[in-house]
Amino acid sequence: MVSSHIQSPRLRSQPLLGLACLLFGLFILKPGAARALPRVSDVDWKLFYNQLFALEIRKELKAQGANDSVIDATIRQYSGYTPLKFNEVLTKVLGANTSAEAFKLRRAIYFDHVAQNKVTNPSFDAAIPGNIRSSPLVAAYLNRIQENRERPVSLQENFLTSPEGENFIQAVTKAQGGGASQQVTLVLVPGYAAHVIKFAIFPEMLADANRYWGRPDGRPILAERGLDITYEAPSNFYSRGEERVHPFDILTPSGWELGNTVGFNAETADLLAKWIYSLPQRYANSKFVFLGYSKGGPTIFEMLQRHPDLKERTAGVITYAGVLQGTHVARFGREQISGVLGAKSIADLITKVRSKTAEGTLEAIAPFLTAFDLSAVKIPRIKEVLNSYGVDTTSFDANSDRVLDGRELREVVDGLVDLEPLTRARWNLSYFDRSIVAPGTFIFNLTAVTDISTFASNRISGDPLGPETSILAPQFTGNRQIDWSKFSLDAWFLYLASQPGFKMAPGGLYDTQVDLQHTKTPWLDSSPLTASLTAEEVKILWDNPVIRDRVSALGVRSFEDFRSWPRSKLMDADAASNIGAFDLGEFKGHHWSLFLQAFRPPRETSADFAVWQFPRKAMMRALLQTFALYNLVQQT
Amino acid sequence: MLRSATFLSTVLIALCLLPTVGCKRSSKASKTSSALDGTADLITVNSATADAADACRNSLINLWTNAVSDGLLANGALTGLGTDYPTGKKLTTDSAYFQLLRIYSVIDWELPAAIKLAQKDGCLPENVSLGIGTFTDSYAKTKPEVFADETRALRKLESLLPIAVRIPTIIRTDDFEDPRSWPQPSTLSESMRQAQFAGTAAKLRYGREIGAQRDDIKEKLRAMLTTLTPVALSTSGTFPPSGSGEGKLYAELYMPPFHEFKSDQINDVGTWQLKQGISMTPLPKEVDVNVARITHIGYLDPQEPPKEPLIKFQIFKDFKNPDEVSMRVVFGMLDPDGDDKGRLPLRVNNYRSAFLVSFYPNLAFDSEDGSIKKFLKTQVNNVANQFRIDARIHQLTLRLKRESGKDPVRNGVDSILLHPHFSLRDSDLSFRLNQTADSNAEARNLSRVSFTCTPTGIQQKHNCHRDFGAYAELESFLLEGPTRFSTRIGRRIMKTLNQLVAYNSRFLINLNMDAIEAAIDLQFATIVSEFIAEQDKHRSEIKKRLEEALFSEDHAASGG
Repeated sequence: MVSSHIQSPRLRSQPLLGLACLLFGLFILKPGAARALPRVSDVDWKLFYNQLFALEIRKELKAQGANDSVIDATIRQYSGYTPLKFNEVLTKVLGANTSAEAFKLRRAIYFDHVAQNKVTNPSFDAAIPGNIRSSPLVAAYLNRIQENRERPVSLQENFLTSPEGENFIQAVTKAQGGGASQQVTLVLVPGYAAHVIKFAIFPEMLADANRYWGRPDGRPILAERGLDITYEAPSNFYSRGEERVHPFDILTPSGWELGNTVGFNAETADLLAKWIYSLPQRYANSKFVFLGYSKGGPTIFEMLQRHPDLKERTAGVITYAGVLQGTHVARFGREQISGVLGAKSIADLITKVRSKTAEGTLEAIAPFLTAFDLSAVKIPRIKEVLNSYGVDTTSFDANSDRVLDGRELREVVDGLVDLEPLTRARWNLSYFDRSIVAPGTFIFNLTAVTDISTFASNRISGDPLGPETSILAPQFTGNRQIDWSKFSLDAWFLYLASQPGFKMAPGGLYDTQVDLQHTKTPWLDSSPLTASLTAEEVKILWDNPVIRDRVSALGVRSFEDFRSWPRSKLMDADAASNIGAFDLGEFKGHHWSLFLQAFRPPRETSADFAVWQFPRKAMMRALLQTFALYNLVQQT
Repeated sequence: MLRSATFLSTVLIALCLLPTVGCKRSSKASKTSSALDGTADLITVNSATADAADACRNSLINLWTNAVSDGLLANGALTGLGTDYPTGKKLTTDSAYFQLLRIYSVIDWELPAAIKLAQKDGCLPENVSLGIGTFTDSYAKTKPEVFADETRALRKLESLLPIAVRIPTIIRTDDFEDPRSWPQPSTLSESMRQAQFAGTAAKLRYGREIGAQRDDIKEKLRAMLTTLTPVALSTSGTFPPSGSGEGKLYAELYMPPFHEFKSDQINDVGTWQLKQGISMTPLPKEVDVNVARITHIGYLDPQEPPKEPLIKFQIFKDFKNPDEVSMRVVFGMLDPDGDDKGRLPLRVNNYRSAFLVSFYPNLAFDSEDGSIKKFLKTQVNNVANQFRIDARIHQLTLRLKRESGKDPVRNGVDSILLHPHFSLRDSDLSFRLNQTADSNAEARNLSRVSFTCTPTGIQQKHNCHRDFGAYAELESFLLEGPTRFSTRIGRRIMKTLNQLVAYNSRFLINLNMDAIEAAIDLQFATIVSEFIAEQDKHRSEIKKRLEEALFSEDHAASGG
């Protein structure tokens, strides 16, 4: 029975739970920060996480019968560990004069054998100092990890019932003082255009959690009208299963629950807060770890700024390709649209061309929307592709009107403005200080770096488990059908939509949607604002009285100081030392690696679809075990 | 229900490489896609391919689309990174020339194994041929249309492709360009060649005439784009069954001539003009090819521009040599009586349509040269630098070779790059010796030994030149000497020859071909890529303006 599993011995073995709560007044990961944090910062979190990622890939492949050389090659294919900080990576790559040189420098960094040997080293000694390793709780936790090092892990195995999962839950639920317990809930916050993408991120691990707590693998869809999908209400879905405390769970908002996800962040942030407040009672005392994907990253921080009461319940924030500092391509997209529209709004344009057929209108507008991810308006194009292959997509027609009449297209410029480097810098300079989260909270950043040749066949990509044919090349079977399991619509979209972004990203370090540097918290960024902003944009910020006051209080005396200081200093990163902001580094993948596939052929056409070859579950297992260690180090 | 698109991918890729720009001068409804009166843009497929079983044809399409995708992706990973970084260091990217070379290198590297696999797994048509080009409408009507469903499906895709692209009709033909005949002339029937010649000539004429007018801007832009778009492409292969010999592949691409872009007012599209050819242009950096200093390059004779110049690329692959490809670039002009009997006949050995390289004989210094050698070289250069020679390239022969046994994953994609090796002996070049005469008398003397002199208008100065049909003529002219020279110039030339002999220099006489070839191998790409980049810039700008014009029109039409 699942329930007996839930009331696990480790929880029952915490008889002092209630007392501990009374004593410390907390259920949280919140530490006695100033005292504990120096120990936290002694850990090389990037190395530790990458060692776990490599280890989890190894276990998965062992279960599949792979030999050591395939395992090592696969780890090399996905891990991007480098001891260099991201600013150092950028400086090194920007030492190139040509794209080809930059590509080679990047490979030298991310395929460095010495670095790879560090992540495959079975010992954690290099990542965790001896005095921390010797702490009993940490030692016990690490020992369990080492005991299971050689255990093959099949993809079907539920992590939460596995030995590693039990070890993780035990560690993550440890509260302050070592003897108390706490509940922790991981909330996956999706990104741009999430409300029109029907499939969840990290679906494998989400299904594990759902299964573990007696829920169906995915949230049931109650109604589907083109782009508008209604899911079972979270209050119902997350009430399923036996009524009891959930020490650890994974949840995610879906569909319209976060509103128009291509519009302003503020709306999404408020709806996310509302979503948290409306969760069933069983989560009332839970701490939250938020995993912000893409635009989900800034959304979480805006939520914490607009709803400060949630700070105390926030144990940590992980960003995956989070647009924390904007992305150059958003500025480009906004400028492109503004250049065409002049003083008019996009809504004016739609109204004026509305007399044409819906598709004609889209065709007129589409050229100006090609440079960035706007899945909603891309759908008619994808429909055309499908039509040309003879796929009946009449049901898509309703989407054209829906897109034109809906909010997404009309508010697209708002969303782009919010993702521009200027807007994010303004927001960061105004709010991203030590009060953005409670002391002791961790902030981990994780970033994909894309090499577009990984979409090619394995003869070019080098991925030992990669496909034998390029996922961009439709393969025809003998009966005149497309082999949909080998043809990725996602890859087509990313390939076509990302080209301007690769050009604009510094050194071409880009994940198909966001520049590497901009996915990191500004506290970790030692480059000046001028690396992200034009001279005019820096001046706009300097002329902002609120920002001027804030930076002046930090010792900025002149515009020259403002434009040349490391931005971390402008955001008072030193004063935030009791917050654990750490970069978990880069991995080789892309912005959509955490989906199985976002765009799939209609079910009536084919039940098969290409699946992104990426060790999503290994990545998530490594992430969970990393923040569990963080909890232990901080709490003990 | 899935309707198959057997040729969809191949044709799409072919169209991406070779967009057929539609013209809009037709008032008739035609079964073919071209809208220019009397012509038809066609995709031609040989009967063996058209009649092949789906599985066989699919094998071919799969291996081809996969190889092309891999080529595009391998190249895409190395190019366009950080080139438009708006607030920091912008990187430069490889020129279109290098990118094409890289894409082709990957395709060439993948094909042998892919073909073997396709043959093992199923079957491949033994003879395969696919071409795209413009023909006469009357010819098109005599040929059966094939893959009509696929064509209709493709036309639905037009909106996804560059806006000026038209999807041609696909026809079946019994004609087959047999790769085994390389390097002999085309094996296509005379009727097919004539039809393509007439259709192409009409299209080129249209592009030239309409591109020059300024009444209909949209049509002008379309026509200008036509003149910058490839004229024809064909590829054919023979794939004998496994164990009975190696396959062969032949492809040819006819490109329009390089153009110079001119405008009185850059913002007034009406004033935009494309002028055929490139006037002699100084290279941004002089190129030293060991025995000569290349200073200028140009294309087409500005005094007598040829009527329909075309550039033909020929590629021949014998899978017996997996790491080698033969390539020829022909600078000619469309001429029904042309001596190059390809799919489209070209007149080649004419100075008017040649690619020009201007150089001064110059012995490069070597870091290992001793003081005596340096002195001698200096003496030679002091004299030889007075003569400018224009090399006229009519046909370049290149062998593309790669180092065998390399793995793109382990050694990087560029380890499988094909490197062009220039062969001067197998190429077809002629020369022009330039000399300046300071007086009318000197000009007369030069004229007596077959120099053509033109007054410069400055005092009595003349620019004189003499053409040599081949290097041998130039060599013998210099060796034997213009004995009738009694003027200062005559003496100068004689003095040069004497000095050359005296210093036992091999420069000009018995040129060190290997050194030149090796140096050109290194420099060829740089020189050519400049041209291609410039050409591509114009094409992009025109295409952008055309798309803007079309958008404005659509917008205006709907009241916007």
